[in-house]
Amino acid sequence: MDEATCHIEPPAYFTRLATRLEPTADIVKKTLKSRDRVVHLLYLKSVVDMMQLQEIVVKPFYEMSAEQNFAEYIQSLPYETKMPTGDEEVLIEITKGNVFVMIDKQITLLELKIVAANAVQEAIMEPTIHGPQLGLSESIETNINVIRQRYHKPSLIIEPMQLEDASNRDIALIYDEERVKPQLLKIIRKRILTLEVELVQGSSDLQYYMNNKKYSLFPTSLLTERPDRILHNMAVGKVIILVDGSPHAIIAPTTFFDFMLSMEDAYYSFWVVSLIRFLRYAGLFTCIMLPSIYVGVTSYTPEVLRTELALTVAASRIGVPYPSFIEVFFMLIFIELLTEASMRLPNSISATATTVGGLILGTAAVEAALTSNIMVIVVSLVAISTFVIPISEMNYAVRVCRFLLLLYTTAFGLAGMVLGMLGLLLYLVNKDSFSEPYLRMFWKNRQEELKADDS
Amino acid sequence: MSRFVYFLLISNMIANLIAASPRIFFAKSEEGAIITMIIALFFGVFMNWALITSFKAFPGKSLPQILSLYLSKWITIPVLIILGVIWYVSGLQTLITYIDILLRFLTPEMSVYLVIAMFIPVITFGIIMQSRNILFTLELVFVLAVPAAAYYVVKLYFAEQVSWDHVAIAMTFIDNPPDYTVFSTTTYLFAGTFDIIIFNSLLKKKMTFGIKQALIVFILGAFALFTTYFIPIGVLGFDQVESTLYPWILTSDSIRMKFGVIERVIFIFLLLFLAIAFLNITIHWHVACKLFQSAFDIEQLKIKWREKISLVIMVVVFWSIAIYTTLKVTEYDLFLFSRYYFNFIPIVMTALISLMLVVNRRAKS
Repeated sequence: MDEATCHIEPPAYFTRLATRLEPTADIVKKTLKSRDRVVHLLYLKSVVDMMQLQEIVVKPFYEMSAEQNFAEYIQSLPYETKMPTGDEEVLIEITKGNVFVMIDKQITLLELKIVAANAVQEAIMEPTIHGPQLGLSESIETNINVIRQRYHKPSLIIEPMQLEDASNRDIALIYDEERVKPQLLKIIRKRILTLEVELVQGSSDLQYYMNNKKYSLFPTSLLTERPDRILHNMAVGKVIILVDGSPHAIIAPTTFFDFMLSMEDAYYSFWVVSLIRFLRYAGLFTCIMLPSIYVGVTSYTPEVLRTELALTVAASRIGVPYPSFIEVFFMLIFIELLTEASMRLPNSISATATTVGGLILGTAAVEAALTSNIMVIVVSLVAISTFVIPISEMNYAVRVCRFLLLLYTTAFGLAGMVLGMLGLLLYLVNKDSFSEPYLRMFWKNRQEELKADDS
Repeated sequence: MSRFVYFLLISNMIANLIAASPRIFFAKSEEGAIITMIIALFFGVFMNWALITSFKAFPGKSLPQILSLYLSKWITIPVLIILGVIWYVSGLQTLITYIDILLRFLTPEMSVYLVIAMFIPVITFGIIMQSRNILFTLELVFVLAVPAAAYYVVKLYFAEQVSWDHVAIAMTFIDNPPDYTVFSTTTYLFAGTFDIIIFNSLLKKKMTFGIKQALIVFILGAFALFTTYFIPIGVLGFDQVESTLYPWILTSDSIRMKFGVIERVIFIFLLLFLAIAFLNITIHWHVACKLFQSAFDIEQLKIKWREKISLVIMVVVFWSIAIYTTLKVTEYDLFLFSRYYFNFIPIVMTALISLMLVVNRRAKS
């Protein structure tokens, strides 16, 4: 660095950084000068809080007397971020909203970023009557704040990481050091660091990439927006992964039962919760098996039902010109379309779409003898019970399962349905989430049984 | 004992209901079936005790591992192959029986190839799964099946059709001399525990077999035997029960649920037992698979993908034999072969336990 010119001209290092950022329009290179004191500032005005910059850096600069004081003042600020090594890393920090401050040879990064979307949002995906009503925000700092606010323990560790993708997004692993398994942490860190993806948009696709298998059906980690779910899982030794800019946290590892748990279960009395859980599992089985049962019972073994019911079913199918499995496929695809359509549309239109689709088309389809009355009941029941599953990823997985089971039943009848269910069970049991078994029973103490596995 | 051992035991007991064993009992119902069953009950509990005790010294080790430690290759390999064949046949017998039952009672119009095809993907997936996961599946299926099974058992015992007079008649034949086939068939009910020759590698805790465990096994066995033998007699009648092909199916079919959506209990029975039979086949073939793998010592082979290749070969061989025999074997053959097979079981059990005695002695010295 040139000693003689450094007071007037920006130093070479500063210029080098500035030129690398140059073409962008929101770059600000500022040299503050008061008598013989010079401070160089470099920042992006779109991500820096101007008011704060004014209050914290510019104003004191002109109010203070000696230069030495100002350098010390800057260093003493609580906004300082750790100085990374290497130009590239410094530039990344600047793009994140840090202000690069250079006083003589002292360089400092001040975190004065402004995040537009740091408001905590209402929990939309997993609403509950009791419990926290607000979910996470789209800013990682706010989210960490939300978690810290509810979990006061020195053992809560926040481990920052940076993705090696196009967007250099900040992510953070959050866990309770005393409860988490070191082995698990190692696996998760390795998974994240060895990701080879172009761009991670947020927690949803990070979750998908971390799954490590392209063609897997069931989610192995859980996305949530509820702080109480995050704490509930962290307290049993799971790891939370936050991605900046995403209002969802990833929970890993997860078991099948985690997906069947609504946070509301913790807020009601035992018998109420038992009933709700029973309903939920009944809903799960209904939405997977009911279409297959219909095919198996109508096309393969009508004698399973009592005679009156078998006759009712048969009578209802009078006039339907094709075998039951086509009817079921037709209606299931119809209901899936309806669900998809109502999800993608704005709220005001989706109500109309559902009414038109559900009521009018349903009735018309029956009257046109394209499907039986009972089939309409079956399909509505299936659609309703699908929504009983609290987590939407599981919801989608189950919807796919339903079709697979239907195919198996169509080929092999009722016995095929039972075997198909067993196959599904085998698949789930054989799956693992970050080397924890995905589906298994725990009788006594969860931790004790896991320990027994390891020893 | 680990709870999984009980599950293995129970699954084998239940799977036997549909297999040839009830028929063997009823064929000998006038020739000392009862007294033999009582003797065999004690023998079965004793065998369970002997097995668990002999494995006590080797927690977390499977039979192939134990044998390779203490015995020479010349003994180990034939023993493992023989055991593998026995376990394979055990699964095969259940498979053929169940395919036959499905064709006869659930989907009579379906082609036999289609019924076999239905089993192939699911069972294959089950065989190549990790042993640990098979135990977890077993547990889950049990939990799912218990409500239906409990309902079914209660329904059976309280059904009007059960004529306890016929049961009393059957009991009068208690003083006849015992019969070896009945004895071996009953012993086979207790063979479920013997699956631990492979699954023991997962049971890391030291197992104890005291009075409590013996009592549980005894009660389970006594209940299973009593139900297997007396309920069909009560429902079908002492004189007629001999002449039925699948006494348990007919028994289930004579009971109906007056107010149920499903009227005939047989469908609950068939589908419930499909799950149990499937598990039984999977477990036995998995054990057979592992036994063959260690018999041929695939760990030592220096080929890439040796684990996968060996599994593929095994699965192909297993299914080729299974398909061939399913197509060839008639019901009469099945009954006959099952009897031969059962007769073989007590000998194998005793031999295995004597072998374990030798190993135990060597391990101590």
